[in-house]
Amino acid sequence: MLKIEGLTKIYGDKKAVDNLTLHIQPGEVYGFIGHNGAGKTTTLKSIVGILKFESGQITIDGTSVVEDPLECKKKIAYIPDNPDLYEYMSGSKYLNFVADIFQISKEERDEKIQKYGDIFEMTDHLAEPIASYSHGMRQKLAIISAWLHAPKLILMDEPFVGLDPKAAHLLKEMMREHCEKGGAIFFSTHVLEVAEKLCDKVAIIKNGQLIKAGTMEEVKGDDSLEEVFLELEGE
Amino acid sequence: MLKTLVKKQLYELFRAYFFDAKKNKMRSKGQIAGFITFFVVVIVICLGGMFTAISLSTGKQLIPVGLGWLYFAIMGGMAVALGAFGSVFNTYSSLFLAKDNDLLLSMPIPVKYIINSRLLSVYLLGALYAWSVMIPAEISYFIIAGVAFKTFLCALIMLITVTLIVLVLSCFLGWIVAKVSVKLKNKSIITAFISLVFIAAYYFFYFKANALLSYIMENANSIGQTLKVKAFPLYLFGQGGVGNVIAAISTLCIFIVLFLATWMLIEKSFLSIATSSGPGKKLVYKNKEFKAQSVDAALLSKEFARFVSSANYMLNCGLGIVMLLIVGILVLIKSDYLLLHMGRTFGKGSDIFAALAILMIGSMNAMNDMATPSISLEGKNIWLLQSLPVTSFQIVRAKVRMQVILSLIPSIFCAICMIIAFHLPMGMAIFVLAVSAIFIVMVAYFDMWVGMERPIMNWSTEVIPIKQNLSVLVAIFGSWVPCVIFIGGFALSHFLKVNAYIYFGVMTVLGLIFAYIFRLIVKKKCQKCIESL
Repeated sequence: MLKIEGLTKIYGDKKAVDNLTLHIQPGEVYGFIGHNGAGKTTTLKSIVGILKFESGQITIDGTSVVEDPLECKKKIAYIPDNPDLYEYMSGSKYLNFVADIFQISKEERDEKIQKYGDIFEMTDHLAEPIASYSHGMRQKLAIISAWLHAPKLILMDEPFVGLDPKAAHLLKEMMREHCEKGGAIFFSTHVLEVAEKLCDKVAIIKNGQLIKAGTMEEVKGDDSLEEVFLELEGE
Repeated sequence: MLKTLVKKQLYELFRAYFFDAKKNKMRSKGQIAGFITFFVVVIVICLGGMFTAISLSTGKQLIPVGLGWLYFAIMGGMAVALGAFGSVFNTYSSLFLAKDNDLLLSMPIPVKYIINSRLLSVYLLGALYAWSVMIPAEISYFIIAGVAFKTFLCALIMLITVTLIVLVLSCFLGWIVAKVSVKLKNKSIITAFISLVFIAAYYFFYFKANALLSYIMENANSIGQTLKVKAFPLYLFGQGGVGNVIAAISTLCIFIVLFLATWMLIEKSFLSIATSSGPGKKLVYKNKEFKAQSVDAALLSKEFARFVSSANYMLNCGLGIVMLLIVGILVLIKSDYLLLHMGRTFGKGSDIFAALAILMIGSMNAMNDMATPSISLEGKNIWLLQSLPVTSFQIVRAKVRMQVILSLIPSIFCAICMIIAFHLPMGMAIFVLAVSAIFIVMVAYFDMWVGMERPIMNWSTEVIPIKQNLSVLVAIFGSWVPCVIFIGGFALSHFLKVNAYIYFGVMTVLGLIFAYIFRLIVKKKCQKCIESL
């Protein structure tokens, strides 16, 4: 589903991501962990096409992000670490805007907005301007918009930040369900317990370099993910 | 702490002079000096030159007959009008709507420090405009009446007093706008409407200023006597200018007290206004009301939603829309008067009226520059467009289309009014419509190009990308260039007895070529621009 080969991204004279290689298969929930500034967000943004990178290749479902970015963007959904959405729109207007961009039929979008709106208890708030939303509500709206067009790959940067426990639980269920249907999820998180319970595979990045990747068992063995992470971080 | 906040505020205000957003690095000392010099020269030459001429002609009539105080009252009034106008909404947005209000309020910073640092930028901008009237006024006074220690001292006091009057008015009116806005549902549209009333009043007095000034000059003595009795504060203010130190200090003290009162008013309500989440009425969600649209239509709708969401955006970048509608109606109402006076001044003939119609429509359209700040206004939301499956050209084309649509509709209305009022034949009428339409498209792509060159994405108040940057200036003044070329070329062709139809035809073709060139430039540069943000 997602192939990252030798990705290198440089800011000035600093290598934010250094020769990163990762493969994510359909049906996998793939966790991406690392310290602040390790290169997680840079990697995610490079996959989405927000950041240009110096070298390497990224393909989504066989399509190169560099050669055909539009086709790639049609297959993915991205939720950034800070859900800065159009504050001048209402929640429903925003969702309809995203639906228009992905050319989702009227019937399909109505059904999905109602479904996910109800799941996240957002339906009653959809007529209100996004400017009046709390951080958690914005995050929920960003999640609903990501699920609208049934993307093959969902990329999320710290998706649980700001969510209440119920919403966080629902999101985990939705992630699982998405992968069971053949989709894939690649997300960064600092909540190692969540990564440990939720992910099929995990990658640990440090100073832009991949230091460990594989199935959860391969990475952590008999230890907890937290112990492995701290050990690799040199604590 | 206050010093840090003030530094931050000043840096934001003059950021474009110190920071090259395109190269993402600080400018060199030479560049900074060049930018500041350019700004000062523009202010000194344009505004200073204009007000030197006005103050000299007014002063020569009033000062020698002992009505120097009336001279200062008039010039002071102009300074206050120029300084306060525009600052009202600047106060409202930079004080109450600043993006970093929440951040600063969460820090251990006294609220009064935040208010003071923000008011400093309001004060500086107001002072800049007020002084561009008052400094020429003082110099003119010294030229006519001579310099004495007392008058020089009073001049210094007066320069401070005028800025305080501007600040008091800006703060008070800005506070009223803020108080009203928090209670409104469609606040941007209502705020824009109120502002337009302000602007209309301003232009009304502006156009009446000459007649008013002539009337005052002719009846200076009797008006002076009446003002002394019925508008004593004006007399007191004017007395301060002519060397009455007590009057100057008294006026200053009065406005210090008024400023403190206004400041207390703002301080008392700052938190409730800055943290207001709007009227609490619950809105009901009905998804049935939304229709599925094409990608381009969705992007265009988004641009329209952005435009109507901000009073600042509408007022500063869409003033031409209102002007076109008003001028269209006025031209119809005053057609006989206009035909007579335009005929006398420029000569009769449908070709001349058609050229003037195109010039007027073009000049008003130059005031529409929605495309220029549109990329900067994406701000932190830019990730959305970058991550969605749309091309960079689709993104910028939607912004250009918004400007074209918003300009074209009132322009067609205005053009039809002019065609009727000036009794233009069919051929000329077609050219008025065609040249105007092509001009709109050309300017929209030009404005987009200018906006793409130096987008500012990290603004704390939207006034910065909308108003306080070089791109907007270049867009507006640059849009006037084709107007000047058009009318200059017409005058030359008229002199050379070239058939007007041929000239308009050539202009239509040239307009099309330049519109196409600007479109090509935008198309070529947009991808790099959007990707680099």
